[in-house]
Amino acid sequence: MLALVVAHLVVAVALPLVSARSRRAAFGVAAVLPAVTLLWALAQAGPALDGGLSATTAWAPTLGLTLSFRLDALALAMVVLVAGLGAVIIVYCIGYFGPDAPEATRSAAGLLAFAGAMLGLVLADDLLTLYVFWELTSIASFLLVGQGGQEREERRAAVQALLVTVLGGLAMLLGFVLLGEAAGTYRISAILADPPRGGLVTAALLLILIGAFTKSAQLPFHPWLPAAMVAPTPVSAYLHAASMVKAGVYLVARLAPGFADLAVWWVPVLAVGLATMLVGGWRALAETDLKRLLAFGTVSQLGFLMVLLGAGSRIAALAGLAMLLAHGLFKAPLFLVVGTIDHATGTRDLRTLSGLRTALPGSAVATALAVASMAGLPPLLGFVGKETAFEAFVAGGGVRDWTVAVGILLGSVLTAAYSARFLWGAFARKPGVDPTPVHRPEVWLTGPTWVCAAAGLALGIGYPLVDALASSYAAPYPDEDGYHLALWHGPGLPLVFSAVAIGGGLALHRMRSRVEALAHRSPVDAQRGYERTVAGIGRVAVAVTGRTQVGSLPGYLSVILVVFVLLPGTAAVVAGSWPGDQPLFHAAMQVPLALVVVVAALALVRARRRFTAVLLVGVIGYGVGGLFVVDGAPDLALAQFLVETLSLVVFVLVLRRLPAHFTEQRPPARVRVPKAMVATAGGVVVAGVAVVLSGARTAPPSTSAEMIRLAPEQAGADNVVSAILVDFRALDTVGEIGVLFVAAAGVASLVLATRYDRRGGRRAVQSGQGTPQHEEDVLG
Amino acid sequence: MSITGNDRDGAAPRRGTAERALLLELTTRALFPTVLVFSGYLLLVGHYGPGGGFAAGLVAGLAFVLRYIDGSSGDLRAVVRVRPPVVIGTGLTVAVLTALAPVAWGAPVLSSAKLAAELPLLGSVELQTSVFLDCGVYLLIVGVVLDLLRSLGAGIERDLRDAGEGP
Repeated sequence: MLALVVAHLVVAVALPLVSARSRRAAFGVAAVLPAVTLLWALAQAGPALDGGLSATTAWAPTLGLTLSFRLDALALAMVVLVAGLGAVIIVYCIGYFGPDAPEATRSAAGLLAFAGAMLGLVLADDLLTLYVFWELTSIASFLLVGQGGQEREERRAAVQALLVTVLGGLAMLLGFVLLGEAAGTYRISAILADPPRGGLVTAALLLILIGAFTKSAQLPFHPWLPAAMVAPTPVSAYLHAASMVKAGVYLVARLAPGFADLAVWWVPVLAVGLATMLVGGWRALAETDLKRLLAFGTVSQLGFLMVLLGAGSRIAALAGLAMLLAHGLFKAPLFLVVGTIDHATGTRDLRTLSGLRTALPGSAVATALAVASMAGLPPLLGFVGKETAFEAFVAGGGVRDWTVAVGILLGSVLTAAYSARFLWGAFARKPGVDPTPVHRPEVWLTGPTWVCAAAGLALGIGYPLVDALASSYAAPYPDEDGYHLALWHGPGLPLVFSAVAIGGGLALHRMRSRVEALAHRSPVDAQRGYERTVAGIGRVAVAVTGRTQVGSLPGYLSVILVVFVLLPGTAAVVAGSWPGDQPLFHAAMQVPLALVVVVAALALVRARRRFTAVLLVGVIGYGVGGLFVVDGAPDLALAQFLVETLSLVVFVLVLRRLPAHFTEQRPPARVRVPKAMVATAGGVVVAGVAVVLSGARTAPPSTSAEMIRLAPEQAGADNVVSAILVDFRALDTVGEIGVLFVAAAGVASLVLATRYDRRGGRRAVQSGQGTPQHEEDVLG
Repeated sequence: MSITGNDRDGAAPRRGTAERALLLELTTRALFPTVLVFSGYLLLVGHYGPGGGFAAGLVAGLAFVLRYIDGSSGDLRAVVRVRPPVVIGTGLTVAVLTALAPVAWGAPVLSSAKLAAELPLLGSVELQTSVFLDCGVYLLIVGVVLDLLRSLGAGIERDLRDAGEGP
């Protein structure tokens, strides 16, 4: 399974090579892997439904990290959506993106990479593996929504989607760690086999639910999904309807068998799910853009799925899995139809579209099929799922179940209403609107739509297939009444509910002008909430930065020194002890060297010229180097002398741009005295702490002797310092030269970047960053 | 490359003859190659005595500083054809590749081995593979010094000239 996932990512990286020759061929190549994945998964269906199929690859065994994958009923259902719809939608792209559309290259690679990440997500059997793929899908979504980033709308939508889902993702990661530690394992199948309980698990579940809610666009995080509709339609169809937004639902479905009996689980899931279903459905009735209408419909359906898959009863789970498949199979073709209409007429506004029923009869029939499934009409899969959903909560009885039953009935009324609105808006002939001119869509556009819509019909009639899948998923729940998915359960409350939903929906659609006006007036706007939150965070950041980063070097130094005096200084005074046998010096040469250093330091404080100060700092450095020589550390001394020399040179080079004197006038005493006090305290504490620390060792260091013993044979070095640098502690060395590399790049950018800003007098100000001259300069 | 007037006529900018310090220039001529050879020695001797890639790189860098200060070669582009960032990158690449290479032989990252060979004339020769890491460090440090001379040396000089303050 790892190989399949990796193959997706590798081919995605290589795909631009193909699309350089032919954009259409790139999509053709991209569609092959998802199709292969679908066939592979279907071939494995037997063992998958019969307990599951596992594969584990060690990743970092010493850290306990593994890449574990498992194909079971739920994963299989998701693979059908991810790989099956993926292949169909990528084929649709051949027709959607013209042969020379600039975004085609990016979209082909992005869609395939996303398919790989999503496949990894649904197959993962390890919490951390799941997390990695979860974030990869967020990144793929960001890239696909943002596209080239030329449009402000695209950038805003992409950033919003990324911020919201990554916020949830990070919360979820915390939850995963808590859950994994509480259970003692990160294997999902092992956790579900023996679900842990306790306060830690409560916190973990809440955090995980935040992740699921953000990803699946639940209230109040939902606005990112309608905003993401700026993406090309195939991207919306795949990521924002069929697969990625189901990741949250999938996670809830995955964990529900182990935790659905806990109130901390089912209360938020049912409450948020129901609220989302109602709000999404209501908002869909106000939209005039067909794509945004579908987006709010998706929000609503995701809430419905959340309720079904999180409720934790067998029938609800059956209904949930059926609806999961049904939603993918009716929402994807609806999006594809919107893309086709957009392509054929150049608009998606249902106020200007008219008479497409006769102009695009094939698409109209396919849409009618998908819409019927969405509204819950027999004999489509949506009907089977919805019927079972009503049964799940009607049969349960009790306040909780009846509340949910009424809630999903209301939601279904809204669903039927916006389904009718979509069909009417896209295809009906509207009085007073001229028939929209149409140019015929290619078969690449209509074919995939038909495949999806027909699959919804086929699975509705062939419900035993779905039943086998759903029963395998629902197996962990106790089977009390032997309920199974079926097209006809006989007359009963669920059938009445279905009829009420359809009838109510049609009635609402009848009163559309009044409903639309009402739906426009929404008391709270979650999008405004998001914008206020982001702007507020920005303001807080500016305020904090403004207070802490004041831009005064003495200010920063004072903070550092005061903290040093307060923390390590206090610790040394309280806990340390002055070494009793500290000699004043142990080699005669130390005395003159120390004197030189002290005198230079005193003179440095009095220096008024920068050049003098730099030279005196050099003297101090050489003096310290001399002390190293006296103490028998030639390597250290050599490095010290060389670095000191180089710093001197660099200082002198920089001094050319600075005034010769520090300040023209002596600063007043109220500035100088506190500075002097802080500096003195800092110096005294540094010296004192150094002495206290040097006396704190009570036993000879064990590592030194080992290093000296091992250096010749293990590192092949007689010089133990060198052995430490290039062998024992070689990783540190590599890290340090990395730091040097960054520092050099920083110096070059800073010095050379300011150059073009200063030419303002002569011509328009050019920002240094990013101009061709600047880049050339920085690169040498 | 650059947009200053001096560069446009092809040659690297030279300072006026009045400023040239002949004694320093002559000394540099003699010292420059010697110091470079010495830095090579420090690089190789690091395993057995004071030295190593860091010190050797600084010594070589200081040789270039000398070349820059004596003023005979303008902004050093005439001395070193390679662009400093390339030297830095090469050094980092060599170091990282040395770190990763043992993996190909199934050993942990950053482990080193001793290579011994009998060469004609030289007799038995030993080579610790960690010397390659040291070479990476050496190149990187030389590159950093060259880059500093380029940005803080020649760059500031050019700014001064542009501002009409400099020599």
